[in-house]
Amino acid sequence: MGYIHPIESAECRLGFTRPEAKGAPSHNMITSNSTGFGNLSSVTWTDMDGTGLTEFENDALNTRISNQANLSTALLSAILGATNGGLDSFSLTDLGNHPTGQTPALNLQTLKKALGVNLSAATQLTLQEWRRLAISLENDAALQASKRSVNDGGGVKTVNGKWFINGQEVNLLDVYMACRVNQVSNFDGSLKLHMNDLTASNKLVKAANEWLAKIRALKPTDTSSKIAWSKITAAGNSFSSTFGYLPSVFMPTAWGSADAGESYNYLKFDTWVEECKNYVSQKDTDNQVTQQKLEQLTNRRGEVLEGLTSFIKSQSQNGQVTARNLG
Amino acid sequence: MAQLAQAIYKAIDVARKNGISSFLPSDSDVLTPPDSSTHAEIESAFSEVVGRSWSGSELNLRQWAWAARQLENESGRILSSLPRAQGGGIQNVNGRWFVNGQAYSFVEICTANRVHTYFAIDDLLQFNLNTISANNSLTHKLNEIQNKVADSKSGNIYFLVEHLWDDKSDSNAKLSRSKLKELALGLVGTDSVLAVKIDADSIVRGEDWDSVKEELSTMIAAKSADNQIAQQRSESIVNVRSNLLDGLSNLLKGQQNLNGSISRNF
Repeated sequence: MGYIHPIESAECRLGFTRPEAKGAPSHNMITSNSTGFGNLSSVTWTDMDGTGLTEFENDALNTRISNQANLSTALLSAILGATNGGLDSFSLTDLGNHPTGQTPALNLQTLKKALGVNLSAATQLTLQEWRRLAISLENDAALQASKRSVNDGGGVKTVNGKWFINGQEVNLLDVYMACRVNQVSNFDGSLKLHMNDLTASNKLVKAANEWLAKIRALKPTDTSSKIAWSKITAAGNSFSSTFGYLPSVFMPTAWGSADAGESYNYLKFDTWVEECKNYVSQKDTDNQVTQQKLEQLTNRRGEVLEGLTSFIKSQSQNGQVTARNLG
Repeated sequence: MAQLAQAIYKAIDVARKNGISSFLPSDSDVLTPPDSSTHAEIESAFSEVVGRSWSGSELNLRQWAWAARQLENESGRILSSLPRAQGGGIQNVNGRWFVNGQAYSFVEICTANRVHTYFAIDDLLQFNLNTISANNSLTHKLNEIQNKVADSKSGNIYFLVEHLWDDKSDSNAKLSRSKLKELALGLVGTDSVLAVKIDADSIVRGEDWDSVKEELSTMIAAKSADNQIAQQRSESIVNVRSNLLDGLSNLLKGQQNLNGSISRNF
């Protein structure tokens, strides 16, 4: 079981290059979250849907992943077979055309492309060296797969304890935090919308109450007097230039049915006042609904943040227990 | 091999009872080889495992006991090469542990077992995180759309519904026309104004603005609720994962303490 006893010397035998030593990035270099993945310092959206591959790039990637996965499986199977047969090494030539449809030449090419390993088909490697290569192939296949969008089988990938997203290796905390930060960012988007609605509604209610006061001031003080509609529309235009809303917003029925040449008594004014009050009442109800939505969103946002901090805490506790036990 | 080992143990019992201190393989009064094996098979197994011929000289009881243990161990090792369904898997013989035809310590076996469980938990967590991430992407897109609708209403201009989805082909779009319509019908219902507008490729204005905005809010809330469930699931998986890690390091610590205690005492 090679993952318990890593063989460092295999690297030299297999010609692994250390990209950091040469100063050049490598396809299998472990990146250290260079794009600030899952950064909570500003709650910004992190796209976790792959690297935007074209259809052609996707097809080429799928072929590469398939070759690597098949070769890895074939190597692990060959290791078991070699153990049963009492062999302690084998070559790619010994694998023959396994996995099905992959010649030794294709397998060599797959190893070179994925891991930068230069072998010949006849090179004999020990079982542990082959296991290390097989695991590295699995890891690289997962890294490549994470470049695809979620709909194409990409997204977050994990294998052999490693985590990959958008074609880079990250740790679980980065992935977890990115998911939570995106959730919080979405909640913030919805909160902003609802708060804008609340603000707009409050402005309308304030203006409606102002118009209500104006209508009450214009209302005839006795039962016989009447007020011309032209006087009311003039007041409405003046109101509109101050508050930015036409009174027809608060009393659409009245405004739509009134006759331009008519005059109206106190009873009509009462009807208009009632219509305006109903509008304010409706807006208050709408505001209550929006307020409830805001509270619900805020609570859910809080739950997400709590979940994140509790995850970080559990990771930290794990680290402390492990350090105490094994340090 | 296991049967031969049992036969040797019986022979040792017989020898002890009769005060015999050593015997030959051919001493039929003491040792009865297993019926299921031929002489050639017994010779092959014995010489391979014990390192001497079956037909050789006498062995004392201690040597016979050692030989029987070696045969048992090798039998366990070979059995561990078989799949679990055929009686293979992890084997424990005479305090030694075997799996996949190789010998390992108890700690190594337990660690490997825990690590397998750990990887399985990681697979579950991966599925959950991808679910949350997919819901996040969809919600993000719906938020963008809702903002577009809200902005167009505040500007009092009409809004072409075709601006709502990505103009890439269906397979590459984050939110395609067909997906948006499917969401509207699924989450809002068959009377969705948005779905009707999408079908007709028409515009949104007037009284439809608020309906479309409300429907988008409903869709966002539904995806958010899905995420709540996935979030709770992922939190419980993370707890199990943490406990497993703690358990693993406790196991290793316990083994260290045991080794220390043994070396101190002996």
